[in-house]
Amino acid sequence: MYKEILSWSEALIILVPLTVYYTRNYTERYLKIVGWYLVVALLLNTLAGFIWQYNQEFRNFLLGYNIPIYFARNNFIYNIHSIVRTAFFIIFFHSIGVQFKRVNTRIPLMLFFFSVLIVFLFYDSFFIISSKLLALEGLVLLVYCVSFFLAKLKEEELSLEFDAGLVITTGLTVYEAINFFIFLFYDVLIVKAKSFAILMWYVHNVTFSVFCLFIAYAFYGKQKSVASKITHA
Amino acid sequence: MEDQNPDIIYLVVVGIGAMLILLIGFLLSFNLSQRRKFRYRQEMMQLREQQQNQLIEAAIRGEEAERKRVAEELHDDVGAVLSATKLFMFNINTEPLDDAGRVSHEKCIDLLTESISKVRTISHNLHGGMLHDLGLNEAIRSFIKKISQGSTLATNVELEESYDSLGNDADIHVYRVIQELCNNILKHSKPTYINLSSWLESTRVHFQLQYNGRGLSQQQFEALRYSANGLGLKNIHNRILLTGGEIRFTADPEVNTTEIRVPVKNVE
Repeated sequence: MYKEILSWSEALIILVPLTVYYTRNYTERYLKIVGWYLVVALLLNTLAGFIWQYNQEFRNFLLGYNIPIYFARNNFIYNIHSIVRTAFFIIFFHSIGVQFKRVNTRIPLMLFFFSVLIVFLFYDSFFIISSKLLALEGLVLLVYCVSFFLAKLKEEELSLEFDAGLVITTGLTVYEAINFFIFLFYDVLIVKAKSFAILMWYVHNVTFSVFCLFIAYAFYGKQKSVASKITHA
Repeated sequence: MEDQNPDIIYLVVVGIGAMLILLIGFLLSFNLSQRRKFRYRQEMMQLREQQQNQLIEAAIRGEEAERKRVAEELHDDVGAVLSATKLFMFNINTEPLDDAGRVSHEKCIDLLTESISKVRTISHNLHGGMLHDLGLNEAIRSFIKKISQGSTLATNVELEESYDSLGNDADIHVYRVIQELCNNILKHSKPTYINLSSWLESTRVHFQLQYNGRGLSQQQFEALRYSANGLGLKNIHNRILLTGGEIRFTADPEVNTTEIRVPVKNVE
């Protein structure tokens, strides 16, 4: 039972920040980007959950329509999720931080997509969880997170306002830092220590839940700070 | 657990542990640095505010000293010269003068008496001696009485008596603020009445000035005190700032209100 809860948690937990997000209209572009990421992540994780839960039925369904059996495993969804997450958060960082605004968002996005193409053309199969892709995601987003924190440290102006961007970045840093080594060695782990790899996947789910709670807190805090501004006006 | 390879597990666990330590260290040092930056900014702001208050205080003290000097010179020099002139005028033998000469002599004495009285009034207003001798409430009453004398302006003063003084400098600041406010009201509002009342609320004294005619709103006050013509309003703001109090303006077609709240130190 607890395995089912942990497996579904990565889909269900997204509902928490998404509910907070839809209780108010946010005008900030970077919050809208996170909101859209959550919608896509919810769809992907729900689909992954269904494929895992109803694997046999799904296999029969695919066989019925002559669709390749690779799709009966949810691994490719995690690859898609990784690409989506990296892309959304690259755009997020370019719309929030002054230091990233000077660089055209298309350049890092193109570089990332090019790297993804190389990974899947020459190294990994798209239908198996790609360690290289997930580690690349961790590396790219950790570099962005550290740059964001360093830029914050350099900032002359210190605002007392609630910083939703900082909270989201902190959540993302926690998620990526813990999962970086899991992702990096995942394909080796699945061969040499399968039980441990499965255990690590649960660790991933817990950290993803923590990340979602950080996002929910960022939305909630932003909402409260806007409300208190209106009251004081 | 037979399929487990301890080396790779060890590597991943150490990797995650190292990343966690790095992450916690990084977030802690970030938090510490931001707190330090925040404290430094706060200290700088406090220092700037303190310096600004010191400058305002010095300017106001200078202004008060100058008022006192002018008042003393008016009273002791000009007043004494006018009184002596009046005395000499009385000693003039008017018998050899014709009627026109006697009328001129009497007119001179009347004008001299009026001048002496005006010099005394100006001197007292500038000096604020009554404030030191009789206290804030009496000085305010005396001032309001003076502005209504010889005019159709109706005045009413009801002041709280449960305190002696608002503090060392607060008395003079409040007195000058009320003087400036009343002068502004007379100049700009063309009122038919002015009511001044005060009451004590916890550790603060509220002074409420109500009048009819053209009023001044808080927004107008904020805008005017930054303009070149708003020197008096700027002065009011600075003096209120030094007392640690606050001032609120409300303009209303029926009755305009200006309320001053000042902390009081010697409550009976």
